Amino acid sequence: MKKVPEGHSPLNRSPYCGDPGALVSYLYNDGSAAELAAIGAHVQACDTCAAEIASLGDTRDVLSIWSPPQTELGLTLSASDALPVSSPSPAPVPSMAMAVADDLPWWRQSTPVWMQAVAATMVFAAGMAIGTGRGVSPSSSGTTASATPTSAPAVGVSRSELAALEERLRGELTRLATASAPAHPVAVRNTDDEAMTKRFRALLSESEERQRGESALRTAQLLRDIEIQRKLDIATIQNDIGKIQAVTGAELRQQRELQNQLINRVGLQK
Amino acid sequence: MTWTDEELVARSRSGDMDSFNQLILRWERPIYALAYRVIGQEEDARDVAQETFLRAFRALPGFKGQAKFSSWIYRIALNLCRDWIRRKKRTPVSQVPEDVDLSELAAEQGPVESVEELVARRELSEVVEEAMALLPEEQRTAVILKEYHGMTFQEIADLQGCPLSTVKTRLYQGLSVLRKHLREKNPSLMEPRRSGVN
Repeated sequence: MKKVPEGHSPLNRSPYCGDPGALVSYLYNDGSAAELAAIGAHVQACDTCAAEIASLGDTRDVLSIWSPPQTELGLTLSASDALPVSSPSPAPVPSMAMAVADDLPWWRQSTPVWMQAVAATMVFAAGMAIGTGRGVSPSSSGTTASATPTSAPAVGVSRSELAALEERLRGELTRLATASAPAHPVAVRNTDDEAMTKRFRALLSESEERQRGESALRTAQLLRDIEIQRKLDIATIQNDIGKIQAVTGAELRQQRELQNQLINRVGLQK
Repeated sequence: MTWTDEELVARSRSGDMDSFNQLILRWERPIYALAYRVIGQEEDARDVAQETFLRAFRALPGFKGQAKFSSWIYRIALNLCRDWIRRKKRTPVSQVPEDVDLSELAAEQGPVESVEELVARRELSEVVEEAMALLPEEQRTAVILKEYHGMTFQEIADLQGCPLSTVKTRLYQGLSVLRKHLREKNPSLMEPRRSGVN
């Protein structure tokens, strides 16, 4: 239920009296001519509503003082802005492309240089750890290699090499089991073990060499990429600095001119 | 020759980039002003303005002219402002620049206004910004669209997606809060009076 303003008896009460909608319509002169005329007639006769309208009008007068800063905008679009953007634009004023960079999924945004550097270091460290781990003791390395045949491609020993080795071992064992008792069984076994160890060592050292080569190559590629990115970044920053300097210079000039104007005006007023 | 918005939109849709840039030139200032008053941050307002035109440009093929270009672009801008406020999860705090730019103000105002008056005007402007920041988002947007962009109640209702009566209520409540705050901050300026209706 609408609240009746103070000083209003039900006898002189108009449907518009104290109605926010009616008051706002009248205040902004926004409504049908008939409605505005009816509200106007009521306001003429009602001191409370007239005072309210006047007070709101004063508030509006004060609001008109507020204006946004006079920033140079200069927005423009180019044909490339119509296409999805894959990397942020390096313009000093945030560009259209930059504004949508946040909207891109993470896998489509460009990787920062520092992240690339961290990735390169991690790859290098992992390669070194694998190589060092294998080089500690030949016997433990041999155990690892034979215990994990499924990871052969990653370690560097090929699956076919391991299969051949296993076949050869089985053959040796079968041959030993079916052969007649040897004259010097311990000596024969020792000779076989030595040959086997030598073969293992040869395979492992071969694999390590290959691994090191691959790691070095990958690291070199990453370093080259980082260097290229770094040069690009430096060029972009220099470009940006140049633009900022140009803008700042223009603003300073403008400021000086305005200050001169002000001084002149103050002098004239005196 | 001056093209209408509709003509420029049609030319832009057929691939004329210059036409769209003319639309930007025509509307960048109001859109920036709207964004600044709604979110209260100069840099972010500029970003919102840029993003508004970019989105409009990309959505141009789907714009069939069912609404005025200005209404359409205002709607995009308001949606972006709303996203911004939601993202920041805070009531916009008006940004008052540190550097007092009296010379610029003087150049704008004309020779009759003294330095004291300029300072007073600036202070009052800051009070208005503060008061605006107190309003809930819907009320603030309604007041801004009405006061500074001269929209009709119906246009605001369309933009805000609410009934016309709600717009009027928001305006009345918003103005009442602003009046109260302005009276508290500057009693001499906002003395209650009983006459003077225009």
